[in-house]
Amino acid sequence: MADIRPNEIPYYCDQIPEEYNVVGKTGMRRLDGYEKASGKAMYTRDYKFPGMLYARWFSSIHAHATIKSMDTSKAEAFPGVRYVLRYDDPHPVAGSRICPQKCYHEGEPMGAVVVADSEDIAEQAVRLIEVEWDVHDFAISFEDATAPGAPLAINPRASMINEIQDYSTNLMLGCVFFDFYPGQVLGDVEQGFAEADKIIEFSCSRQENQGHVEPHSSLCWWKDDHAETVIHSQGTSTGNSLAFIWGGNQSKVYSHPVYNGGLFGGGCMAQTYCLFGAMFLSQRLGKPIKAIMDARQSHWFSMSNDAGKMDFKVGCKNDGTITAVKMSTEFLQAMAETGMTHIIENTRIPNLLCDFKSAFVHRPYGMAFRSEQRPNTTAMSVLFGHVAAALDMDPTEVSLKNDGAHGHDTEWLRQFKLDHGFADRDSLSECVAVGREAMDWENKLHAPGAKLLSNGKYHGVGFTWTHSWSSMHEGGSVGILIRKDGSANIIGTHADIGVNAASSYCQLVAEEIGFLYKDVFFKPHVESGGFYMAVPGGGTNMCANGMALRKACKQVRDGILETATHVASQVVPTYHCDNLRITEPVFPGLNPEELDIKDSVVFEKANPDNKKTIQEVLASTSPHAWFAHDVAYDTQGPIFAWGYHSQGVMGVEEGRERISRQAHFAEVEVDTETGEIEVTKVVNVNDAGKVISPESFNGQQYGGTVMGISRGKYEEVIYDVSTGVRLNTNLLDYKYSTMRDCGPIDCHIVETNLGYGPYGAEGIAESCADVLASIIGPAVYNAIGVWLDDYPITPDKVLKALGKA
Amino acid sequence: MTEEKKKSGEISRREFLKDAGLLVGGTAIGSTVLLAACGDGETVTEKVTTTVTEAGGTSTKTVTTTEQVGEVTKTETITQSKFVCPIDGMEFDSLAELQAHYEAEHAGAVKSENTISLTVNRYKYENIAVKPQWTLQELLHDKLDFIDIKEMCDGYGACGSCTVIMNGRPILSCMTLAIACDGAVIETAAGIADAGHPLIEAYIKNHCMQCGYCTPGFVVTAKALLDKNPEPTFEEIQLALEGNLCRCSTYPQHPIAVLEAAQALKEGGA
Repeated sequence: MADIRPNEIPYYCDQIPEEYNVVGKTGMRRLDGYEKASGKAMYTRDYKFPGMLYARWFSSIHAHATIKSMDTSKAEAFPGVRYVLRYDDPHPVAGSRICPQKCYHEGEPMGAVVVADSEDIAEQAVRLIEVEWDVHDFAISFEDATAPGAPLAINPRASMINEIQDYSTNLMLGCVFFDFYPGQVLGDVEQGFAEADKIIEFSCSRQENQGHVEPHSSLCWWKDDHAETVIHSQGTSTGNSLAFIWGGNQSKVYSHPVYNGGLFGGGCMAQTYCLFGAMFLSQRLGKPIKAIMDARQSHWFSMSNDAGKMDFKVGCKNDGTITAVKMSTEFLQAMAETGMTHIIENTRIPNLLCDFKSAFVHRPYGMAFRSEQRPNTTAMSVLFGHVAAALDMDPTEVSLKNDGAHGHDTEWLRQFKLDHGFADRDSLSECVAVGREAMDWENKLHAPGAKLLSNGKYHGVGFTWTHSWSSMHEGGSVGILIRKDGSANIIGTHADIGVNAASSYCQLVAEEIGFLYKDVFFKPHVESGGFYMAVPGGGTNMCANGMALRKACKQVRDGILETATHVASQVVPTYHCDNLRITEPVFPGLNPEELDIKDSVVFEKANPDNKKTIQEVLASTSPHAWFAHDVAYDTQGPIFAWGYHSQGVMGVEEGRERISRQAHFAEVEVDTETGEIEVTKVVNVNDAGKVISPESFNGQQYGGTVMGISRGKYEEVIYDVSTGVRLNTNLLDYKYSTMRDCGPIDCHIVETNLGYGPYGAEGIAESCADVLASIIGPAVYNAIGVWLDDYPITPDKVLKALGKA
Repeated sequence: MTEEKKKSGEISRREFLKDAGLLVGGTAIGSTVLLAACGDGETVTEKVTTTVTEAGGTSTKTVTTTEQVGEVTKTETITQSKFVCPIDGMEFDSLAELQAHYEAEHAGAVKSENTISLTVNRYKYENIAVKPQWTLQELLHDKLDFIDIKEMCDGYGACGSCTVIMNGRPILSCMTLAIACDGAVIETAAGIADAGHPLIEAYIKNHCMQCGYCTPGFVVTAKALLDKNPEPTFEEIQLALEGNLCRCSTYPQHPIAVLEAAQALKEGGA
């Protein structure tokens, strides 16, 4: 049994077991598999409360306007309509939080909410609302929003606006979500440019993406002064936290974060509004309420936060060493990241300057739609792609030449690893080596535009890299309850977003305590007495919650072994119930240190034939009451423990270097007659540190790849510049990739234990979707010899770059 | 049509059907009239194509006029949309006019609900009250609580999450009016699972789900494929499932699972 590192110092490597029994093994039946395959998994859209009413929002039709007058009489008179909440309701929350009078983007749910007997009736009634508008000027571009006298686009509903924001200008003084301090500087860029053999300058731009799956909704049912909520959210405690708005008691609001259809982070803002509406209306009307947004409204809340432009000036030496990077950004509603962060975290580049600018515009809020790191991954891809091209070098060699952290080289990073208990391994070198072989890189990399295929298309390959996905930020608490029948329950409120976390947690608990995998169970979607597990965003899932579980497991395991060897009066009471009664331990005369647990069996190390199942060990503990038909009535299990773990803070964190890496390779064919880009193969190599569930890990890799390629090739939100109206708000006009839109995806796992999660694990969930979008540019450059840095790289842009359009 | 719809230019099929009010579906191409007139060296050809609904709703008349002046051919196409009263066939220029006509002349003449019967999985549902605008997805999910019929695209027929097998064919239940399904026999993902079809275990084993919201639609489409083609190739599976969207992109695993299920069926698995 490995020791567990101290909670307070998350910069050191976890202790690594010599062998694993359950962790890392394939073939573990996923807990959510049957429910999801059969359609019996219940999502928020599927839930009903008895007597429930349905609420639907009116939407703005202008990008920036105020309601002058609103006639809701027809809606109110519509059969089946029970209530209409309006912006001019005297309650302060109605007009400010739920249905404001003023909108800041087209499609914003605002003005009124109709409550009816059915969703169908509410939907029809909303369309009967008539509005007279006071239409204002709007700005949907950076230039318009930052011009003198530009109309202000700062939506006061967006409660996440940074506290340092100056509300007299659209120019942001920090990212929306988290504090960012403009002008991140390392060294002296001018000196770096002076030392360079070559200076290159280029620009990169990206458009918004969206990602909704399950349209948003939430349920609330107030009874007396306490409420029950069903929420479509990654935030496990969202409903609970909103109790504050009502001046209520957090202990009286229960959340059920049920199965979530495709949130990808970006949907959390919509959930807040849905829940606000449901809680308010349920309290006012005394009925359970389901507040619903249709797919179009949901789209508005699933926006990426990375639209905008990045200008680069880069100095480099002829051997590939980058001496300085100056980056200037013009982002739209940037949420959390500058684009420079991964360059700081991954490289030895000594001179870095980020002139960060972002503006509020009359578009939907920028959210971390898989994910807030995209500006960073895009910057890495275009930076290394352009440098390699300018120097006519293999881009993998350029990456290895500049690998490091915070301006330090890999020798410095090696010493950091050794000082913090990590293995002496070079993650990037290992990933690049695996990837080069898998892609047959030596034979496939060629001079730009030099390989015309027999099918008339041009062949190209691209490469990109960054650090492995973050094990950063978030804290989580979780309990483990051992039942009298020898099974284990994980106790924690946890939101499912599809990363198979529940099964992976069970694997970890089985590993740590010595259970069979089948004897551990987790029902994650129920309010569990305040045990809120870390939000399952990207790498935080396993890295925070897994460490919390390990701490609980250690106590539980000790409890089982003490129960096996001691009478009640000798057992440490911390992790035992008061009603524990042990009259005769099943291993009399032995100490816990002399026992071990494997496959749900406790045995004597020196004499493995002396063994008892965990069920037999616990049989002598708490008493039963007996009901009719011989049904045992256990009120509680005999052993319980809980753990908590925090994984530090978001963003660059001094003293906590990113030391594991990922490398990606893509192969494309470009039709220079049509401009079509076909991705014929992708190779992903992720240093996961330690993989808990290989199938889930690969699922995130190939799933993210399809999303990433889709974003890089054709996904973009298109606005009518004359009205500020979005033109592609449905899935016919905004295309998601289908099964046949990406070639084979070859996923490889490297395990160096260089992460900060359990067993040195790193995250995975957002990795490929973020990184691979911008591998298209380098690959297309290699195919046709022309750089395209305006994402998505659609056929018309290819033709234009070739002078054919 | 509301101001919002006019402004955004967005209208879903479901909304269109609701606007049409009493439209039951189905179209027929009406008469095509070719008129030719000659005079003073000019040739004018007018082609009129009229599309009407079978049971009322809209009528679209497309008038294409081709004018030959010397060597120059001028073509002008005008599309005229009419709203047709389903009871007496009168045409109106706007939905509002049709609605006013209906209220004045036929109020109460048409039942706002009809009843249908369905067999869903093993269970027969008799005399279900159905409003004419309800889609089959709404009826099954919202009214009969078949939660395994999801909806990602809000009635655009774009995602495949609402796929059911109706009378042996996979259909998009969001694009199908419930009132037109009287007597239908329907299979859903839950029914396929309850019947012990090997697709379910193959899907679980191969991790063909992440968030899982779209997965039942894939299972239903795959079941329909295997019913028709018990030994599909990898490419045939991809083609069959291409219309089902998965934003988490579990795509690579589906053909593997379907091939395994096909093998299990061949070996007598279900």
